[in-house]
Amino acid sequence: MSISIKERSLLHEKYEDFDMVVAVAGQPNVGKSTLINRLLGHALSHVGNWPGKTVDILAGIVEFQGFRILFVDLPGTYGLSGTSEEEEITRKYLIGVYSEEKHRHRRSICEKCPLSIFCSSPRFCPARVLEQLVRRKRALSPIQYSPDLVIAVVDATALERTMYLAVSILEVHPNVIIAVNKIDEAYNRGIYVDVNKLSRKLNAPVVPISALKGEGMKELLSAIIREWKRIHLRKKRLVIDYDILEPYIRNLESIVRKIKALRKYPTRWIAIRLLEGDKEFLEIIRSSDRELYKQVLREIDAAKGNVGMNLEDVISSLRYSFVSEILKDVIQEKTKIRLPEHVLKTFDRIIMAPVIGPVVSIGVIFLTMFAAFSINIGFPLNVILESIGYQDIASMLEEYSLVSILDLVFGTLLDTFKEILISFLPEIIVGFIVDGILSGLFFILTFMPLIFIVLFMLTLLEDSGILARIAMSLDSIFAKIGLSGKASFPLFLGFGCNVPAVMASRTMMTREEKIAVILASPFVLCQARMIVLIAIATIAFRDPLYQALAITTVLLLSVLLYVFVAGISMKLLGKKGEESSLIIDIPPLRKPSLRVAWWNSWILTKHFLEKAGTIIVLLSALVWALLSFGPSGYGVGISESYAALLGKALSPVALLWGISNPDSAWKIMFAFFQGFIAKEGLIVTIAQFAEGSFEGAWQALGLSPLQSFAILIAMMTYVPCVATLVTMYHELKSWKLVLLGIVLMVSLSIVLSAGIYWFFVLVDYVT
Amino acid sequence: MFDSISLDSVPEGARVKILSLMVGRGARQRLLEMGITPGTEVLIVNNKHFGPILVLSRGTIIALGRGIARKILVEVISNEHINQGKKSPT
Repeated sequence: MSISIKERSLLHEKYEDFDMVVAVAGQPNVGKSTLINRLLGHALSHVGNWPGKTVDILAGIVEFQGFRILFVDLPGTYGLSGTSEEEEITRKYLIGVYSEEKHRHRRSICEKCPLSIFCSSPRFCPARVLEQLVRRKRALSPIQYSPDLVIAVVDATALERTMYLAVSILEVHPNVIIAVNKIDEAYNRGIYVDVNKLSRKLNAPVVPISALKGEGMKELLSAIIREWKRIHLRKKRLVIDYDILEPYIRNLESIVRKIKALRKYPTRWIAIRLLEGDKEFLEIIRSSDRELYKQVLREIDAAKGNVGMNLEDVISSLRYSFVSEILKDVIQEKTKIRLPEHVLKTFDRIIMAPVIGPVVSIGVIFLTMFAAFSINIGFPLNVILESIGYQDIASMLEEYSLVSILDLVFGTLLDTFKEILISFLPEIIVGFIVDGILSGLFFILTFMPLIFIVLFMLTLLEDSGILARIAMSLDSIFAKIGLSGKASFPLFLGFGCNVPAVMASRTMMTREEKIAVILASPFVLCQARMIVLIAIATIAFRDPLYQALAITTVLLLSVLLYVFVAGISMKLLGKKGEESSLIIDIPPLRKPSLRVAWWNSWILTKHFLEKAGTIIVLLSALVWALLSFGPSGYGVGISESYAALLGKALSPVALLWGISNPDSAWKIMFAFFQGFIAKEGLIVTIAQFAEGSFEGAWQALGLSPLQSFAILIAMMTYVPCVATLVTMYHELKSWKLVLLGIVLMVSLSIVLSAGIYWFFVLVDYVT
Repeated sequence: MFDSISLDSVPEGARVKILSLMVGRGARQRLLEMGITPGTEVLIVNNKHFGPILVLSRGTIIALGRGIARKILVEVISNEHINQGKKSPT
């Protein structure tokens, strides 16, 4: 299989000094991230991307008994047969497709060492020290190494389903350790797992663990070292009896063996993949030998004809039968009732109820966002406190909200820097450093807590099992526009910040649904735009009733636009016969782990900072340059700058809203331009024209309430901010689609705002 | 032919056997991997003629959108109505 790894520097960190690579795989909800957090929590770990993919990869080195273990976290998947990006990645990584040929084998002398079984710590081994001095290893990104061992994490409370992936991995990889997680929870529920029996039956080490409590971590690490020392002894993969398909598997195997390009991969597994309809392997065979390709097709057709059923169905069924057979006398349950406790929780019954369910879901969402907002900016909790008479607490809340504290700190820092630098550097360089680079950097740092908080809330909801229930209860509403209940996540996260909203698209059921929600996400009013909306609405309209009306209309419009854009995209993208209907497992409700949520959201936020940070700082510097330079050189006033020229060039656009006064027109267009970096720019820019007073500046524009409203709508919808754009690209990996998203927003924004303006003008004219 | 009906029309509390999946490739793979394979017996935990259907399959609760459930053909094995409130494991 030829896969060109274009992005060489996938991770900022490249790894060279380690003894073994251990991949960690598991189905969603088995507690894999808790385990990863336990293992890597204190280690240096990094997030990157799989080559050309939108899926994150996490890696880190852990030292145990003198051995350095490089852990690679694989995406959570239910199996290995699917067409999703996650499954493709896991599949390919396990058979070593991504790995660099030279580094496939023998990274460390210990692997060849006959004494290794007796060795307790290689730290002072002379041979190893010598090896490290002599051999210069090339540092590579973690995925470029093939895994020596795989840890398959399974859930003791749902062993049958979660063992399916473990068994699929055992078929692909010869060295697998099974980690049975939540062993304590299972025990409490009366489920007893005989790990020794399981180990004997699968001929693989099985370690019971409780990742949440941190139990069994030492045993797991010891098992890794023990297994790794005997790696050369066991090279047999698990063979499942596929009954009626066996003759076809054998025939396909003999064909596959003749194909050079596939020689290094497990042949039996490839034969099974071919029966499951793997297009990639078929393509490799087609391009290498036409005759063999025809034989393969004949073989597959014969199997289909003989079985008379969908081959994928047959293979999965047999694999599951194998799992059930294995587990027969491995699990002992005290209780005979197969109905798990968690279905019967009151919360479940409420959320499953027809009308109350969706209402409760939306309530939970609302409260979550309310908490996120209040921590970050104090709003809307301050308004509530104020209205019930707690002015002091309200103003304190506002003063000590995260954003105001950060604003204060960074503002002071900027001023101090400026004062110090100006004493020995020319003004132009100080301006560049302070107003260009540093203010861009500080902007993104002020913006990070919001992303972090929203992601943190999301992880808490997900970890507790509430998110799956929200998706379920809102499914019937979203099903009407061809989406699944999961499409509600970006919508509600978007109210906090569009960046995590776009990130949440990765949980969608299909690629089409993912694209649809990504294109729709930037229409949701984020916190920044909410502030702009409130600021403008309260100034543009005198009557509080009109203020409230304007704010509500714009908010509702943003929700409608999300639904409309997602629905239309789904209609256009959706393949016939493929459905984006909900298929999710509903994990038991449980108390989420704050520690894991914290760690997960921190890693994602950090990763976002690495991705978007440079771009935002560069753009901030560019804006500074546009603002400070004009045709006549440096140090001109704002109205003489290149930015103003740009605004003037764009000013005819303002005619759409009937704004013919050239002075107002360019100022507004200029604000639009600034708002692209960050939506706060929309008010900050206009405020600049009246010495910082936004109210005065807005009134000086001389807009009618109708014009203000039209511009408000345009401002709320015209384009995603840079940070969102970067995230959109990161999740889609296609500039074409990102561009489509921008074009969609710009055109909808123009049509809507101008449409509303001219409609009312016409109504006014007629009456 | 069996006495097959679609999963969405099975009442709550019934135990059914999956006969065939008439769904697209992506959904089929997802269903198979989650254990909804032909021949599997599942228990209908919740079906309110509104919203997703909850089934208990291989010890896990799985929520299926109505669109998918309509395309899963099943055979009813038993139709005892379980009073969910009273039957909690000890």
